[in-house]
Amino acid sequence: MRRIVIALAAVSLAAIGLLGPGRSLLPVSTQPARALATAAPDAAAATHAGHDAVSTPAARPAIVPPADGARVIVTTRSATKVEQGYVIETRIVSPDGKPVNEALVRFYDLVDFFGPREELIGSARTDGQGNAAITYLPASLGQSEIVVRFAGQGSLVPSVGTATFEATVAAPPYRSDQPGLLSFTRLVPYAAGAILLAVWGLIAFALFATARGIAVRAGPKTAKEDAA
Amino acid sequence: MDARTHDSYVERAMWPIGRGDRKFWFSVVVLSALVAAGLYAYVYQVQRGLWVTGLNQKVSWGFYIINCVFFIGISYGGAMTSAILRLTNAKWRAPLTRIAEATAVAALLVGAIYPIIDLGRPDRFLYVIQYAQVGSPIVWDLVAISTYMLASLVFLYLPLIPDLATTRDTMRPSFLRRIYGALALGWRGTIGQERTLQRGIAVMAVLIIPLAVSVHSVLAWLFAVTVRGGWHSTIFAPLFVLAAMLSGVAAVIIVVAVFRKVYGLQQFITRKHFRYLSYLLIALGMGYLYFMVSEYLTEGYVLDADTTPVLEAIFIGAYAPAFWSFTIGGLLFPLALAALPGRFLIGRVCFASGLVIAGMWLKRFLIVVPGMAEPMMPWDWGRYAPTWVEVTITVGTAAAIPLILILFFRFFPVMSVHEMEEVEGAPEPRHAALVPSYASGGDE
Amino acid sequence: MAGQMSRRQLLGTLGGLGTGVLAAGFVPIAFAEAEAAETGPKRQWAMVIDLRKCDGCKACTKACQETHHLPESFEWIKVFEVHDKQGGSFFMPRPCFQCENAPCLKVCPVAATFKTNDGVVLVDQDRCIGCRMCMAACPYGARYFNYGDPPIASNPFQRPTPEFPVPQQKGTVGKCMFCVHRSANGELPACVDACGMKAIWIGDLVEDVATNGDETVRLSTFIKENDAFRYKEELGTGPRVYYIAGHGQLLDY
Repeated sequence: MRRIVIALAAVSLAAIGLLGPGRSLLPVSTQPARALATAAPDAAAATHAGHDAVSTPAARPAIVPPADGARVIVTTRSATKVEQGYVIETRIVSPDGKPVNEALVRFYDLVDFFGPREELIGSARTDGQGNAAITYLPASLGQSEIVVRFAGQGSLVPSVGTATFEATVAAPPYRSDQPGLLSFTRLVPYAAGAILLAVWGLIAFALFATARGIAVRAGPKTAKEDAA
Repeated sequence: MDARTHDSYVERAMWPIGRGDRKFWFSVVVLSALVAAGLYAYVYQVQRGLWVTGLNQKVSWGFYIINCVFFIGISYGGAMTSAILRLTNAKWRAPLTRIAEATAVAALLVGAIYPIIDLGRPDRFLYVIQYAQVGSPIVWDLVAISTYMLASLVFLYLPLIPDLATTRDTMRPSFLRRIYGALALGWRGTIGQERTLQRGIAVMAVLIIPLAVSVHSVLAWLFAVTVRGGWHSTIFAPLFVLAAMLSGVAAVIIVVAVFRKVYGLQQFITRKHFRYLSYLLIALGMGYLYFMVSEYLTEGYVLDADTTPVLEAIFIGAYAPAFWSFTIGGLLFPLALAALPGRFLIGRVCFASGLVIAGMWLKRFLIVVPGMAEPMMPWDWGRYAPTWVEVTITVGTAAAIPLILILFFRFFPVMSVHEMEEVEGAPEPRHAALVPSYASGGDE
Repeated sequence: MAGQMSRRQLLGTLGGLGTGVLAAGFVPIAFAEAEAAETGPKRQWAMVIDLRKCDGCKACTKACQETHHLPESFEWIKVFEVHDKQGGSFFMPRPCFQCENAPCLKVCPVAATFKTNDGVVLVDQDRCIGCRMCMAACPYGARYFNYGDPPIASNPFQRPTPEFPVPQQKGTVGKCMFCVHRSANGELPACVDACGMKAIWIGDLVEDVATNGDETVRLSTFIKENDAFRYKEELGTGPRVYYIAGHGQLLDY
């Protein structure tokens, strides 16, 4: 009988350990019950859109250079040092074929971040041959669409050129610098729980063993108590 | 201890039991009215929301948290006088232990409900058990306080067993007598039973001290694990424990003095007891002063940006009147008053204890409110003024403690007979003719 | 004695029970760790606030209050006027910093405050018990307690969620949540949208991009080139809001 009671108590305590403090020790960000539920019904995959295909991408106006504008030729290649990423070169040529010197060019990466946006990744001025270049290490792998905008100069209207390339090298992913001690401190509650169990056991022992001991040693009833 | 003194002791210890005289009912009615007023104020708060208090976005903890720490601190009197004096084998504790243990349980019951009073959603109180997060100081609080409450109840009950048997023996057969009999577990005073009981009490006495330390340490960590200037201090846990012991001993002194007067226990609780209790009070007070000096010296010497605003506020700023009232009026003066030799010892010690208790409440106020009000961002200091709701609830809960005690001693002996026999030796066997005359089972 | 447990038996039973509970508690941890490795975060929200541009108009505060139907005292993004040593002053908007090592997260007794995979700290007002421990723990005063009822009645057709806690529940705590309910629909947070000076930038640390609605920049470069700092970083909270310092500059209208 006693063994059955002990076994039942052990099972129920184990269950409490699983459902209670055990569950609470889950790193909070991965608790499955906390899946992101959005208020609007058509949220779909928009939250985690990166270079992934978005369910309904906003219509992006096509980037076309002006007909009478300078030609913006954009080329990409890998950098000599792999960790530098890629070199994006551009050459600005005026409509009558002459290279544009000292032209202000801005380099953008097309991203989908709250809609299609052009992320500024660098700027430069062209040299005598109309060349300018930047190095670019993309934040993530996959297709990168580059847009180079020429700000205009004198009679030349602002113009634009595009290029795409497949990034096989990317910047190291973001990692937050959590203090290393945190993994150790997660074990502390377990130690505290063990001590707590021991304390409750001792209190229970003090109460029940004493009560039992007194009752057991009571001996036969006296005549006075019998008259009660 | 000779038989006559023993019988006189037993008579005095049992005197309040069943005694429903006019003084008793008057006190019960008055205290119940105050408790009812507190209850009404709480219902008022639950119906309307916490905006009825003086709390705001900057100072979001106020009277309720102060009172929680304060009342639980008072409950340390039981651990101090009963457990520590038992373990150090101080014989003079015997007539005081029952009062101290009962005060501890009463104060703990009152203090433990304050976090619930403070909750914005008290209907969800059980979530703390259901969804308990082991990293949260509030959960530590719940665990520590409930364990300590359990231990205090057991520690109150075990030494009560022989006294329950004595009470049962003096009563006429009735329903109440059967309850006493059941609770007394068939106690007869045999050697085997004595040994069992002593072992149980010894285990609890040893256990209750680290438990008591843990409760106030956890309450201290509620504040100390935040980064607020006045709170994030490593000495907070020992400081709180010592403060609790100090206020606990002061409370025991006052309660013992009151019950001594009302129940006529002067023969057994004498000047000597108050002298010894005052030694405890002074020792703990000096210890607390030392901890305070250590904290303020460490912070004040460096005066870094985190701690300076609070230090300024309490030493020379808006909270300076409260702080200096506490330090001088609530600590230095009463300790000196109690330490001086001379006449009117009991009166002096009681007055000093009253000042110490008031000072301890003020110190808890000085910990909670400036810590909350200090500017964490480039904004002004916060402000806090309690409303009638908070004051009424405070008064109601404070009245609940003497009410619980009066009702408790209506049914249980006010002094521990068994403990007195333990330290003084059992009396010589007495004749049947000397059965005390107070044997009755109901109201007078 | 018959029926009485010896001390050894008692200790053995206690030890067995204790070990059993500990072992049972480890099981969910093992599963959770495996899960975390497979589904890594796709976004980690951050903000950059350009203090050179903020003019203290509080349009961000008002927009946030309107979007979430907040009472007057709730300034989830609060604009402080900071007086500098030169005798001038500048304005500092403070949203919730969505700390990586958030103190509010650690002290909540019921896990009503939790961090999503996007790095945003949310409050589940169906679970919050209103103990206000998180408010005591937050070093930035970014959390607000609903002492009374919100200005609008509850909507029977739409339950508030942690991502869109509208209307606020009396007796619980609320705070800025980087408008994740809007970013789920591709809309900028209300404060970013409302800022007339375009001083508030919303960014993603994973994709390394930030936008203020008009311009879009590379987040890491933007932070580095402008010497952006984080407020009270020494507390170790790991805030996700960067400030570009500056005061005294003439505002370019």
